[in-house]
Amino acid sequence: MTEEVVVTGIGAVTCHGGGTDALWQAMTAAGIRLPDRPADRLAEMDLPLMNLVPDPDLSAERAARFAAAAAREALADAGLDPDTLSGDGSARAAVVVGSCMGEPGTNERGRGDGGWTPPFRLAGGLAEELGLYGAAHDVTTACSAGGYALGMAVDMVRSGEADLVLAGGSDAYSRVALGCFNRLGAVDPERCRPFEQERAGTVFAEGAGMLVVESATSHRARTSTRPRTGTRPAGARPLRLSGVGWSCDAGHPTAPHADGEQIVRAMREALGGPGGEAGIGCVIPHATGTRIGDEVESRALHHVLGRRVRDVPVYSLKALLGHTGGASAALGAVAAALVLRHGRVPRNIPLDHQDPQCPVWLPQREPVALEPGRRRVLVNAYGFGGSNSSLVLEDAEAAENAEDAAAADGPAADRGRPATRGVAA
Amino acid sequence: MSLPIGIDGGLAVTGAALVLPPDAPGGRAQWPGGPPDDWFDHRTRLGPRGYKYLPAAAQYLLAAARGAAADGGGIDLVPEDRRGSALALNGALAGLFDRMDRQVAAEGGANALSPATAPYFAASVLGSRLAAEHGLKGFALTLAAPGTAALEAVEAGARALAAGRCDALFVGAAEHALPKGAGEPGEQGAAALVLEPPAAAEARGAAVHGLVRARSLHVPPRSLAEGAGRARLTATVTGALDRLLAAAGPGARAPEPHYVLDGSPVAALTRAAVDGVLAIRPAAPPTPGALAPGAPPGAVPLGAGSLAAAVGLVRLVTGEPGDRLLVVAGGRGHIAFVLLSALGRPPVRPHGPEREGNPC
Repeated sequence: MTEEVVVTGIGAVTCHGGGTDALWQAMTAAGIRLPDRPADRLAEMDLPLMNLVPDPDLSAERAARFAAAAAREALADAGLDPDTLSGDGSARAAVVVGSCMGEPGTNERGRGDGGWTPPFRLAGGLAEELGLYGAAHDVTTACSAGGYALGMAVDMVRSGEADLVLAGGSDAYSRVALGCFNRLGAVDPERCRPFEQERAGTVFAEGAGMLVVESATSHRARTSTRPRTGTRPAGARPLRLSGVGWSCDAGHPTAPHADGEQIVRAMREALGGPGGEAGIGCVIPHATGTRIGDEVESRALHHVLGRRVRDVPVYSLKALLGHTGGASAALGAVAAALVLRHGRVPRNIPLDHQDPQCPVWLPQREPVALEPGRRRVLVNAYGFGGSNSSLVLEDAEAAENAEDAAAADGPAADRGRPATRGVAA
Repeated sequence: MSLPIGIDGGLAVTGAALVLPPDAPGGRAQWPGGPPDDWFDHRTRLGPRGYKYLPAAAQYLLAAARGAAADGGGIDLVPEDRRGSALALNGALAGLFDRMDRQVAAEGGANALSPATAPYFAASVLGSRLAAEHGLKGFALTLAAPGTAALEAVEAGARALAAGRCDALFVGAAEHALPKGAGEPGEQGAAALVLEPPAAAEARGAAVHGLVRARSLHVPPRSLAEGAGRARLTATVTGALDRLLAAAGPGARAPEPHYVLDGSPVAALTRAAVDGVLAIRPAAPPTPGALAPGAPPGAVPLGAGSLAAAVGLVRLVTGEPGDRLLVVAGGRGHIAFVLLSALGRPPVRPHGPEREGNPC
């Protein structure tokens, strides 16, 4: 169980469009996006709000389509041709897809064909499409599903059961899910506003993030025998998926435990033990905009990072995308890879007033350059049912090479300044 | 006796239980249209208060888990942080989703939903009460797939245990009736197992039903239209099974096969491939089992959910000792195996399968 695990390809579909380029452009633009109203005449609820992927057909297999698009981008990014992948090595290639709702549309009134179809068929569908013969797992640990999927991928590679795992998450519009979240009073009528003092819940979003997770040995073997053909930027190296931690709050079905003990444990497990936090240069939190969740995670980050919490930038991906459910950790990992590749943490979407109960550093004016030695990104994801996951993605080579510090990305203008209004910097 | 440790060495099953409807009238295995709704009384099976608003599948799962713990599963002997859960489902909440959708779309809108059941739009909430009741803080993993999810849960849970994510593991599967109009009744009931490292079970003197090793794979069903695709399935199944059997030790005898299949080409080809692998090994002596070895495909039908395979597994591990292989395959391409290795001594089952079908 010692095999090094690397991420060699990433793919994304979000409300900002298809592809990781579109995602990075949105991250760097930091523009506010107001939620959509799904064109679903049967969505009888007070706040039918969701950030939709720009794809008008609500009836078709959206989650599968998003996952497939993200997967194909990830494979190309890794320099892998699906036709090659489906050859001799296909039995050593697995798929793990996390999703809260799977493919709900076909079973929801008026959107499908009647009858009932198993909703969790995303992994099998991808394996079928790509001609893979390894395991195909659908993971449904609510909004932490993508984190669990990546953890399973790590376990599969480290145990030697797979050389390559296409892992991530995908979720699409569900009338049932949105209705239930309305009933729980958990939808923000304005937009997804994590850490905002006036936040009022979350806003769900569609999306998919997929990553090519490989054994370092396998990756070295395939890249040493033929040139890379992918779309990854020149100079971009495989990233190390160095740790994934899981835990369970084992209590309330929807609320995190107030002491944050289990989410702290998951983070520490992902960080790899004492001292693991020292190299963290960015946190992509779970924070969805719910009052308790954001507060508990903020306190937990203080526990984990200690005094360093004041100068570790937190990047709120959900403020940009909304809450992508079972895909959120996977998209968090994709965003972490982009941060590492570009060597900087984009500025956050500006807050009106940061909640003083959430004293974390959310740079809002300028991007923050990743420093050498701090090229590790922590990604958190938590879900109903108490399912918690954290993961750490890192650029180990860059951390060892100070000259690689993102030369053209400008100064770390926010570093050293008081974080934001209301933050105990 | 020193026992192997880790995923390749298999995990010890120290607790197992089923919660199933009683047999249909006339001794039939399945109720036409599904069993009656009143076969499970949560008040008598779980307690007088606090369970009324749990979805039926969550109630079944709790009852099965209590049975598995009472069967000797020592999950409560390890710290809460080291107790994991790997659950399986497929259509467990489909009926609830259908009712909620009808309410949202046509019967008062989202405001008409019950706040008690609204959190279950996330299917993994099925296990939250279980996690709370048994202090399962290590992790809470939920897998969903038609047919094979329970064996995938054994596989993924064992892998996580071997990776050090927990020291003891609950594996459960639960299902409830599918909505009307689904075209089939679905499954009802739950199964639960407690898995531990063999050394831990041995150290506490636990009765061990046997060691389990699980593997799963997926074949693209469309590929089976061509000879090359069929050959690929055979090669893949053969390779996976060879590796699984090799983990049981050199010279291991062929285990007694048991099949849970549907009528698909995937199932038929999988069975043929498995038979081919086993045919070249010396056979283990036949042992009585709850599933019928040698029965034609479809004799133990793959249900609409995750339960048929889970029931088969519990029946095998609580049956007479022997080396058995459970094979599950279905038309969507999912294939899974569990190899059960006996320890050479009869299991002790103070609360074993007699709980199955207990009509309260």
